[in-house]
Amino acid sequence: MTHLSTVYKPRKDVRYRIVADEAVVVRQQSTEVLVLNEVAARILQLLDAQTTVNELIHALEAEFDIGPSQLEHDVMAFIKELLNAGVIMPATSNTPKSSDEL
Amino acid sequence: MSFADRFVLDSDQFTPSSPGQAFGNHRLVIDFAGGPYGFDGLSATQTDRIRERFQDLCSEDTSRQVKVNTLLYRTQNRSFPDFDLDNWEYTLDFEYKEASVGIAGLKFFAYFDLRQGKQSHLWTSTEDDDYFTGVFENYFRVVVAYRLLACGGVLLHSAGVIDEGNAYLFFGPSNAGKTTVSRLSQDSGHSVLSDDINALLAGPAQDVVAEKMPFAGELGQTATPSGTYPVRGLFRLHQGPRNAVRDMRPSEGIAALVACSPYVNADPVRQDRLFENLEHLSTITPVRHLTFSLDQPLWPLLTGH
Repeated sequence: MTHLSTVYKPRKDVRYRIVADEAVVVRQQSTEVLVLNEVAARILQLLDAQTTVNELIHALEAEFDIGPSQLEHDVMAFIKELLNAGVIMPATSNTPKSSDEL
Repeated sequence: MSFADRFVLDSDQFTPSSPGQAFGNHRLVIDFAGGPYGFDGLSATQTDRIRERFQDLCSEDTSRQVKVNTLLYRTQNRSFPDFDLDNWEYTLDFEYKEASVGIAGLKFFAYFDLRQGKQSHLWTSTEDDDYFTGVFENYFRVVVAYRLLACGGVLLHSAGVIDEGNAYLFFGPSNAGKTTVSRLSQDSGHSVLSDDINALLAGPAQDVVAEKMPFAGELGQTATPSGTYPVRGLFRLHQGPRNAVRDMRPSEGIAALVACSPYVNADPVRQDRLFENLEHLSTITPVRHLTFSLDQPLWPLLTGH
């Protein structure tokens, strides 16, 4: 479950490169290669093991012309996709507040 | 399970500082893309096996300066566990470090030193059975992949076909159609570099060139003039009901190339170098999708003739 206070980081075997605003992501254990669009690429760049999801959404608000509720929805969806693809993982064991669970 | 446990009983016995005994005192130099490559400590039997396999690529001038020099050492057969090879999919084990890559496979263990002028070490128990050629080639492929990476290129799982002196490379995962495209191209009078693996490098004229690799594939073992060929097309293969070419976004093209760059695409230490090389090469020669049909001639779509 993703919470606004959760902090994520790329998995250890993940390497990526930004190419024309998109991200080429390699999961080296399986040598799977993914392409992320501009927003997902930026999310991956910001998931640095320190930034909470909430902070990430605020950072993206300044960069993309997307309304706050839509942006929050998109970020949560992208994070779920990145988790399912094995690209990122939780960086902390913070216990989130139940009110920010999404 | 840690590095090499699948393939050797005790990897600590293989140390470059105390490598053991060479097979013999023969030396060979093999010259092609990324090389020349030197091999020392060979027995006469091993030398014959390698010459038989690599033929004209073996240089008579064994004093030549080489880019990688590998010393071969004898180890006991009991260093390696017995394998049931039925239905076994062969993948190598790797240990990635800044200066070296450890490689373990069926009946061999190796440290490939990436630093210029340093020796690499290959231990095996085989000399004159069928395993030796396999051991040698499995090690050598990895070395070549890293040398090409260091030269700004890549070893690409691909079919390479020549049309009027220009190379067209077709790549994709297993069963994408590399061998099929190679056969269709041969049937229409084209030369095939390989239906399995080719070198892709930056050429001297700010272009991209392909070079034939001396590694086994089903096709391309027959004579194709050696040398480099300017690359006119890089195609990610798909099979479909009719022939079509589509552009790819730069990120898609690089992703497709990374997926077909064996060995180095799993190396966390040198992933950035791989990205750099592929971004450079695919900027010069963009990657495109090629959907091909068995029912339509392919080459008019690619070359107009």
